[in-house]
Amino acid sequence: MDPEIKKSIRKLFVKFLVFQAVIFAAAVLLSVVSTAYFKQRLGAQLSSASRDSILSGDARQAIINMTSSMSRDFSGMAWLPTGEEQGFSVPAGADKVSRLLRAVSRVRVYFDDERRFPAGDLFFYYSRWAPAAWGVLAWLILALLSLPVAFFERNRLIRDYDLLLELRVKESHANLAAQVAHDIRSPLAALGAAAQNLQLPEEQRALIDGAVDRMRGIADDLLERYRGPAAAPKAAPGARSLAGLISQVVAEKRLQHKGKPGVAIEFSGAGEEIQAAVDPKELQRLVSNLVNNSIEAFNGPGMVEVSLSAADGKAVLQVKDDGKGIPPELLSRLGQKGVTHGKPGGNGLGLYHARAAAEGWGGSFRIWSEPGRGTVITIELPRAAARAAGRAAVLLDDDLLVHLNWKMAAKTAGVDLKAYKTPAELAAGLADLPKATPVYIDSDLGGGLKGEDVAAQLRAAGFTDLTMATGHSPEKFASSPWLKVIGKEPPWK
Amino acid sequence: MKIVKIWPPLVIGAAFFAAFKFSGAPAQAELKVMSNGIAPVTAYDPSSAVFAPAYFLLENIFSPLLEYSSGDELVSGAAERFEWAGSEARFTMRSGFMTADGRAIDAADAEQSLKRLFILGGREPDLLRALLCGGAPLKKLSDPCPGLEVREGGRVLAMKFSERKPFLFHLLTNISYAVIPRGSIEPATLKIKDYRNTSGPYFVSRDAGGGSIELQANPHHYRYSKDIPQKVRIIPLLENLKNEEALGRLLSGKIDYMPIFLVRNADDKARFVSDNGGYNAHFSQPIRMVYAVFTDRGLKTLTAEERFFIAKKLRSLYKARRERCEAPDQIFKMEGALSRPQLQAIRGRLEAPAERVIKKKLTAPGLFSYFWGDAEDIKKWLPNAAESVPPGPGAPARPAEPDFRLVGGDIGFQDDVGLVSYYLDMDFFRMSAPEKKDWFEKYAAFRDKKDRMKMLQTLHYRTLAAAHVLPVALLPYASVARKPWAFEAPGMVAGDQLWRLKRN
Repeated sequence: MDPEIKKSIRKLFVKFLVFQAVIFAAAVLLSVVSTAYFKQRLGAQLSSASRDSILSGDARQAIINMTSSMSRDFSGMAWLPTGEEQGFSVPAGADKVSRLLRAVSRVRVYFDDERRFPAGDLFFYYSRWAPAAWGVLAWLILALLSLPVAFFERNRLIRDYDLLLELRVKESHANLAAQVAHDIRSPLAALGAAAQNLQLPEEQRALIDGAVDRMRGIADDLLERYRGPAAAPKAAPGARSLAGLISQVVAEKRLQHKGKPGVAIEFSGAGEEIQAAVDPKELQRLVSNLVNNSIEAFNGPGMVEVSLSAADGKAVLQVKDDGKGIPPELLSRLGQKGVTHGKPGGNGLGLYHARAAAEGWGGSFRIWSEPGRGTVITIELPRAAARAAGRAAVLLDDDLLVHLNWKMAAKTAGVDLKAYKTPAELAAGLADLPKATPVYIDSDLGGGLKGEDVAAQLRAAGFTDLTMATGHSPEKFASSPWLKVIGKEPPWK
Repeated sequence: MKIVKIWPPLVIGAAFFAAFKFSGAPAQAELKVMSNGIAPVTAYDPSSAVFAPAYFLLENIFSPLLEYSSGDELVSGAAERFEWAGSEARFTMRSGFMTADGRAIDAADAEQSLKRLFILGGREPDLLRALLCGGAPLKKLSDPCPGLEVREGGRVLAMKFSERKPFLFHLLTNISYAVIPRGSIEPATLKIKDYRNTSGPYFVSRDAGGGSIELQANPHHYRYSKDIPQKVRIIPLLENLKNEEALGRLLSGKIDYMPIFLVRNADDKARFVSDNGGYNAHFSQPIRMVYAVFTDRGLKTLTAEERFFIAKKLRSLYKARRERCEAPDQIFKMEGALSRPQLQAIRGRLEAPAERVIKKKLTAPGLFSYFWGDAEDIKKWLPNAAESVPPGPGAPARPAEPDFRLVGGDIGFQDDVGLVSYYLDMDFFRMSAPEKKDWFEKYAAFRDKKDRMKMLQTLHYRTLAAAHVLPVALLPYASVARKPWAFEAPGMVAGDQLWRLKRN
């Protein structure tokens, strides 16, 4: 048996013994005290019955009364008049028995009814140990009754302990998985960034990007499962260049459906610099789902046209196919939860999420379809102004790999990123920067330094755009509402 | 200006104080008691009390050495301690015990009271006198009585016997043995001359004659408290009233207290208290025995079985008419009770199923007055019974002896010697005077109560078996007091001791 459970059982046993000892003492004490109380009351009643005979000098009558009345409850009595050294006792010598063996109830008798003039004392003797024996008997019964409870508790303890052990193992696995997931994100990000700069055929680049994304997804899933949904913060929606994000998905889809004859996926608008405030992963998932839906709607060859354009200050994303189309009676309900079409085993979540995401970003979601002609899904998002080139940003992180990853992304996004390892370096580098410069800070800076403390100092120094780039959940920084929180990924694509 | 402001509350406060001080309290402190005693107060003497009104007055104006508590226990009276030292009974008198005028009451008063009683005589006093003073009767207070000794400067009275007398303390609770202060007795005549300086919780403050007597509480008495009635007015009952009329005097405010010896039917008193709020009642244990005593003439006129039959019918009549009635099979249930075979024999005859009509001419005083409204029923089985021979031609010059009487008596004695003495005096056991004397002396000589009980049991059975006296009913005594007076009275002792009333 595990030593810990042995220790717990030993503790339980000790508790049981202590409990029994307390019960034993209480039972004996209660028995002795209650016996004394009732003997006293009985003695008072007997004394009242014999009082007049004793005071009248009719000791014989008193003795007769006492002998018949007290036989079961007292072993003897004695009468001692006030101021006298000797009275009488029943049976003779009852008052001479050792006090160690006999307990005594004493009842004072008065001459007057106002109890001012004492006439003497009546002593009623009874076995000192008989009440204790009753107490022991009561305890024995209680102990016997409590034994099954003790055994039940013992078994429950063992069962609980087994469950606890199992839970600990699971927790340990979870921690390990979460740790791996967390630690792998930076190298993955670096790998992804490095791949961007490699001179590779488009297909291979897309393959690497897809693999990196999938691994990142796995890491996110692990973090989400073992640390809770809040553990892996999603990137805050910010202005993103949509063309790059969509191109990546289209390339991946082409590779994915390469084996389907006659199926083509086109993307127009890859050169457009159109930005909108979106969650990049969510947007890519949305496009991926819509393209998959279109392809699944083909019975044979078909064309999916993905387009990105700008119109009336809006970014317009369209996914158009020449598939079999959707019946009108279903069309109005598509995009609602659980409504699907044309996909065996489909749950309707793809279109529902696409609608929810588009509307969540302040945009709209429309479906046009005609049976036999095809389907067009149009998503319009509020267009964000393109970031000016040459803008600056600051990163404080003790991990050089993160520096590398961010720098690559910054370069791609045209951001002038200054990365520092320590707060001291940061302090030196901030002197000439405008206070509105975005500053990204890791939460664990090594050596016990906390990023949020540095953020607080920067805020005090006048910096206004402060963001924690961390694997921790945003709740951890809830006490600082002025502080934004993103993941470890660079905010630019 | 300031004086004007404090005037109204001052006036209101003074008015409340005056209303409480001068109207409420005195009215509550006085108690008006109805009594059928019409004699002047000088007619009442503890040594010769026979009737209830005398007991009532004497128990309030004199105190014995010992008393019974409200719990029926023997407790200190005028003597704060009472104890046996060998064969000597010692009584330590209460310190600070005084008459209304502040005269100290001590052991010399108690000694003289006893000697006076021994001189005046009586069955128990004679017995005690013989035990304490020797055989020769006492003639005057100055005659020596070696068994009585005053010690410690009047603090202790010692009674020296040849052996312990366990009945003594109980006997001394009787009002006959009350302490009468020396100065209140005329030494030559032994009459009580001063009813103001008495030993009781009350003293006589005024005797207006015709039974109208006023008592006042003695503040120097050990039973005195501000919570007992401070003043008692005894209102004589001069008319023959029915029970409801007598109780109506309570409602009309003419009296505040109805004693045990008026309106004897406890049921009527219970009903009155239940029907009218504002009254408290006290019921004793059933210690009032009603019995039929057959005279010499009755013993000749009626056979024993006819006498048992009359007792049986009266028992059932009583039981039917009184809720609080027990049908007894013997007279002395506690002291001198019959053995089981004796009891079965008497019960068998009292409950004999045979019915009969006794056509003999009988007189029985009180027969119909005990049973208001039941005359017709009685006439069915005693068609020729009358309370007395009606006056008219042929009526005897002197009323003839009746055949039987219905008599009520107290059996709540706490000591057998007093009980026996009382019933011997009532000619209960049909013994001649010398027989009574012999029997009583022999009886009292037994130190062991068991022997005395055997003797009394034999006499008791003989009396019942011969149907000289037969038990009819056993009832409680009851008294009623207007609230706020509440009773703290014993259950086994009959009496109207007004100092046992407490303002509730």
